[in-house]
Amino acid sequence: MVAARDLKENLSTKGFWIGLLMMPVMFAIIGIVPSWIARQQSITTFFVLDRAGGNVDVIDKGMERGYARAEMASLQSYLDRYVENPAPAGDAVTLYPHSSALDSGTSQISQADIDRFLAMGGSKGVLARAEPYLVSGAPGFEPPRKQFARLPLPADIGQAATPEAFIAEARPYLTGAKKIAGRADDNPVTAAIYIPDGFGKPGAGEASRHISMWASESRRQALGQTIGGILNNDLQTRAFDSVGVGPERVAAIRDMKADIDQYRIRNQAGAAGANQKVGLADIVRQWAPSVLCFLLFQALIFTVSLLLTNTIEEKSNRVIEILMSSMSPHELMIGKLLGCAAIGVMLLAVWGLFAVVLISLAAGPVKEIAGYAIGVLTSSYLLPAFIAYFAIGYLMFSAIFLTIGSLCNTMREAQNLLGPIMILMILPMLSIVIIPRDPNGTIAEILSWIPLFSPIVMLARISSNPPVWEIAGTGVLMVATAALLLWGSGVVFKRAILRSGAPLRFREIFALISSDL
Amino acid sequence: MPVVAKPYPLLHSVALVWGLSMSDPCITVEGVMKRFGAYTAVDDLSFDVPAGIICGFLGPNGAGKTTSVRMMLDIIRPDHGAITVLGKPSTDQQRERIGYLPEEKGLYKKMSAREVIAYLAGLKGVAYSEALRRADDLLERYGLGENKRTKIEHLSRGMSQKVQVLATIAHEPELVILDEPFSGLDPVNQQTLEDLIRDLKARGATILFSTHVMQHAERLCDHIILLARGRKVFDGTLPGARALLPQRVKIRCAASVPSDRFASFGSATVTPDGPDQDIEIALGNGASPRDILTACMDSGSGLSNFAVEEPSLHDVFVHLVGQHDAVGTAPGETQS
Repeated sequence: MVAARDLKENLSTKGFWIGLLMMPVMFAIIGIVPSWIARQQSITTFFVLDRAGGNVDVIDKGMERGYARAEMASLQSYLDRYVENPAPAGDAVTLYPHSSALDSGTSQISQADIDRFLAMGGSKGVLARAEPYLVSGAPGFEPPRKQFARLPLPADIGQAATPEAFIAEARPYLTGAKKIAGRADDNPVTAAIYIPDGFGKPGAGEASRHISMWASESRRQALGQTIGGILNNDLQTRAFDSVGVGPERVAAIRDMKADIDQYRIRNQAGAAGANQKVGLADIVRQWAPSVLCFLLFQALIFTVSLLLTNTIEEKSNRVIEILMSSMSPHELMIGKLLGCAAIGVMLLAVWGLFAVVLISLAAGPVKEIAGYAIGVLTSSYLLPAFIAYFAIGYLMFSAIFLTIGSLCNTMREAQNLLGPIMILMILPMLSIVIIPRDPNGTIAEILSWIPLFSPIVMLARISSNPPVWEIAGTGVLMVATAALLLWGSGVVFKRAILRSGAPLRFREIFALISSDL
Repeated sequence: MPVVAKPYPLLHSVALVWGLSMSDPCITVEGVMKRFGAYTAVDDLSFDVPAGIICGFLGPNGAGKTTSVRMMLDIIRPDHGAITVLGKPSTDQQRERIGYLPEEKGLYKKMSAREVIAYLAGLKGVAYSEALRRADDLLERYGLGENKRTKIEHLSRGMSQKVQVLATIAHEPELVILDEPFSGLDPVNQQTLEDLIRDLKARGATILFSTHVMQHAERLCDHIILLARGRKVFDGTLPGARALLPQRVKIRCAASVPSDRFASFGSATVTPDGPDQDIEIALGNGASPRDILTACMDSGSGLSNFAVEEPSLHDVFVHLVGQHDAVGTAPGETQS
């Protein structure tokens, strides 16, 4: 009955629902926010005074190609998603060689790919050709936003001979004191660029390759890198040209890349596919435990905190004494443990359900990753291990939190005791960043044998085939620790639950426990 | 021999039936002592609470009432001594037969009045649907029918305390222990609670309640146990308690009457008031009010008021507790 009430009570609190929804919402935010931010970002504007001549064209062309690259990447994932299966081969649906979801970034797009894309008429041309193969009901393609826009040089800025003279004239436009005539955007111009006479003149040495840029703090870096990249490229191409290597040759050379195939060695010699190529599946395999560890940690913290707040609430509203007249401390404790365990199980079930729903809705690369994740979960001991370690971890930490709850009358008092315990809980979380890189290394082994760390650390290691005796040994140690902690917390709980004075000090707690021996 | 062994269970069960009969005490406390560190909360306490009565458990703050009550309920264990409740050692699990209202009142704030009552009754073994029905019944009967679905946090303090009292009795216990049940209630609700306690007695339950407000005890109790500093200072009926102090007679007569005329009946206090005087006599030496009245008649000197006052329980309380305190600080002992 205590269990049922605690369960019901928690179900009716806001905190529970927040906790329940926090995880899916957090994942959704991770997925959505970056693209949302990208969409919200206003365009970076600039104008250029090019004393050397010809560089404005170079910048414009470079910016165009840069945008084409971004457009190709997002157009490709659009096509991957909405071209019907099996996809017809050809230019229309394959803009550049992308092998898997993780590689779908822009880095694989070669200059030749961009040339081909532009020759096809950009995204409009590609979409026109892909049209017949799109699944019905596919939404329209939304091109990525342009990051940069070059504005014409305002009429009242003269051909200044020095950067200082130029910025004196340009500054009002950057601060917003002046506006470029006929421009709708009210925002001040982000940057002004000055390219001096003789910039990049062949044989003129390093001093000639110097330009100046003024910009508001936040945007300077991205624009500077882009402009720099474009001009570097142009300088190098011109230099190659002067020694007889044409621009086409240079572009082709730039596209040359070494392709590294990675294989992993399996422990079991002679197994089928002994030399498996490292692919996305392996990456998922490597990091899936960390994600599970994170979930385990969240679920643990969440449930044991509920246990703590419930116990303290019963103490502070004095219901505890009525309860004590209705049942033994042990019955009360077990009831509370079960009630909050039910919460934990529900929490995990709901998260699991969310995952299933998300995966079934997913498409494209996400679906691919999800598929591997499911494969990893079903083919290894990860899932049963997760459940087992959650159970043991819950018992260990709930014992600690119940003890704290029985010792304290207010959350404030509890906070003081919670500090060190929270560190104990968070430490193994820090380690899960290290463990996947070396799952059976020394650090991992040492941490595994600290019972309070074991659930999370062992879960992180479990799919990397740790020695069986280590799994068994740490398991036994954990269960023993859980039993010891529960017993100790039972003793303290019994003695301390009706106290209403200041919380006991650690020494007094040990005195309590030892007096019961 | 197996044949001889047979009667024993029979005898035992007969004893059990006798153990539950009305004539035997409902609570027996024998030589109980409880220390908290260096502080002795309860010291060599022994008493019986007969079944089917209302028993007042009185004493000043810190007298050891709550500690004793908790030991009767086996929430804490005595260091020495034995407690029998409802015919069994208090350590026996018979919590379903006892209702307990702790001194520090409080309920789950987020639950409704009927849910709290039903939940707490459920913990005492009443099926939940039945418990809900009883909760509704009780709330109607004691004037909280409109609030039965209100959450505790939205009830006034007095209301929620009433709810808690109802939660204490919803499982129809044979023994009801109420620790300071009247504190925090307004006079109307105090009256309701007194009625409720009488209802419980009429139903056959034994009620033990602690208080330091003597008027309630005076109106309700058949039996009184008075504690001070962890020791019992009185154990008996209300008339018995009153008999500890002398009756007082107040007269108003002409100032010309010499006050030493009453000296033989007890100690007299005289307050002159113009041509009259007020004389208060604490009866002693076996004198009765009638003797004083006769003395007044004889003088024939303007008797205008004559009143006999029974000592109040409050007087007895102050008298006994004060006396005990005086003992507690006798030479050779140190006051903490």
